[in-house]
Amino acid sequence: MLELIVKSVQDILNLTDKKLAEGITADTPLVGAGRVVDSIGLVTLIVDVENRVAEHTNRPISLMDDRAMSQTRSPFRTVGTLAEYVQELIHADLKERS
Amino acid sequence: MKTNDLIERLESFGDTIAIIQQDVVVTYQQLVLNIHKYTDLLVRNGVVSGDVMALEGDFSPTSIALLLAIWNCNAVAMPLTVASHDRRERCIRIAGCRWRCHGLNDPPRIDRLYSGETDEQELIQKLKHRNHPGLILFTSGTTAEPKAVLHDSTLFLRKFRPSRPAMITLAFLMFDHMGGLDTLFYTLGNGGRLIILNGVKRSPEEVAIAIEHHRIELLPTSPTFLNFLIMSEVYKNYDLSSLKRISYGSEPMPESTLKRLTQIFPEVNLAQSYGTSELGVPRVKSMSSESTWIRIGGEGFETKVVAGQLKVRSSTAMMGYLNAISPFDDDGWYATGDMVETDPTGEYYRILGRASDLINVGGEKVAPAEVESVLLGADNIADVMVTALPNPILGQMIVARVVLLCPEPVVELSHRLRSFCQGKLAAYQTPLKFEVVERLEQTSSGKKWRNKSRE
Repeated sequence: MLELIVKSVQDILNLTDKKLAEGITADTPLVGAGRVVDSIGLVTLIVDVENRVAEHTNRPISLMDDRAMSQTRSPFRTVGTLAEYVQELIHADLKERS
Repeated sequence: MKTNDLIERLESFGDTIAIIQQDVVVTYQQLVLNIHKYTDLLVRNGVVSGDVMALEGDFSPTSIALLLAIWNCNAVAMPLTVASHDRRERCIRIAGCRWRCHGLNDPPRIDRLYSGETDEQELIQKLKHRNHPGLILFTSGTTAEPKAVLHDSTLFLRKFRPSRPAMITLAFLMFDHMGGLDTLFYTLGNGGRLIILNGVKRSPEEVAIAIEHHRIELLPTSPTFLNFLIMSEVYKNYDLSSLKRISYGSEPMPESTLKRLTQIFPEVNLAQSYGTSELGVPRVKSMSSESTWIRIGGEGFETKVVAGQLKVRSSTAMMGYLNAISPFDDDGWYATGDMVETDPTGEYYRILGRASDLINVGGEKVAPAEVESVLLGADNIADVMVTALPNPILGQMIVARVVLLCPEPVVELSHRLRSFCQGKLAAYQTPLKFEVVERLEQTSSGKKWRNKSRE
């Protein structure tokens, strides 16, 4: 999952010609200090991740809903937390189906 | 202009052909005879000044003569085409119609809906007091109660003094829309020839056949239709060389569509029109065939821009709505709801779209039409509609629903279109989400139905 999101961030940064001094890791911030994307970039990234996950799992997934927004700690803090959140949703979805 | 003056002018065109519908050919002389015949028929039935009459049926030689006969009786005509079938009963109730007639057959059928006293609308009383005939049109709202727009026909007809060359013109727009009536009176008022298609659907193929067969010179249409004409490539299969002028209105023209049109029809004058049910269709001059900049004006027609929105004051505007409060301010200005851009000279405007369609992305306002125009220039895009989705981070997020020419996975499509928009649109204007759909929703008048998804 981390890989998928790193790829997605990379694609979005390539689009804006933004060069990062270091590579993208789980710790790369998506919001707050040192963030690599602005608010529009963040939403673009989330939609892109939704698309990629749906392509992989054949199940639509919604990352920007009340559940995400009402978490005490935002799942959109870093590349790593986003990956965890996506993983969590996929598991929950699998459980529901089984 | 009085109805009588118009009828006299029609009479002066004698045995020139006025209307063709399939194998029915009507000369101006015959048209005037029919107007008089139907006027007698209406009078004999008991139609009097100020009566509101639903006129059902699309464009036909009969419905056209009936419309003028109703006006000749100083009554109020309310055209209703087949397309507005669902709304018919509601419209008849809103307008307080006393009569309904059918313009499909000759002689027309006339039914009295009720007799006796009614609570006459204040505006209708005012019209009756002026001793002028009237016209009721309905705004093409899709969900809310349609608004009944009342025009004083004498003022409405004022702009149709002889002024333009007589042209062979296709009645493309609807009989119960301002654009369709504008086509009708421009054509007949100048001694032109009106070509009527059968049925309410206007396919590119059907229109192309009519142009070739009747040597049509003027095609008044919409950007959406022109886009389909380009995509379907039917223009390649027919001789459309008779076309002299294509006018388009009712929704913003994508620059990309206009550019393709100038390539396909280099000899044709491409002219934007601008009109609403409330204002009628004022004189409009496009800066050039390739330009979406227009000058709106003419006698008794003033414009100004307030907070990006076009406001108009016109002596030939409607009298008001029958079922809604007056939209005019104390000085008579009408807010069109259309957002415009003004050129440095202040003379020309560019229509960006409806104020109600504007998308608010994190505080930045985006006109959907501007985004659609860019996307239509990308490969593999047949059509596109840009709308908003609520978004917890940005307030609203731009979504582009695209119709593709060939299948393409959405991840690749999104990347391709995002890079395509780079440098053409600001980041906040670029759609964040792309959805592939089979076809786009349209309103009954053939415009993109952006609000459908919000319902």
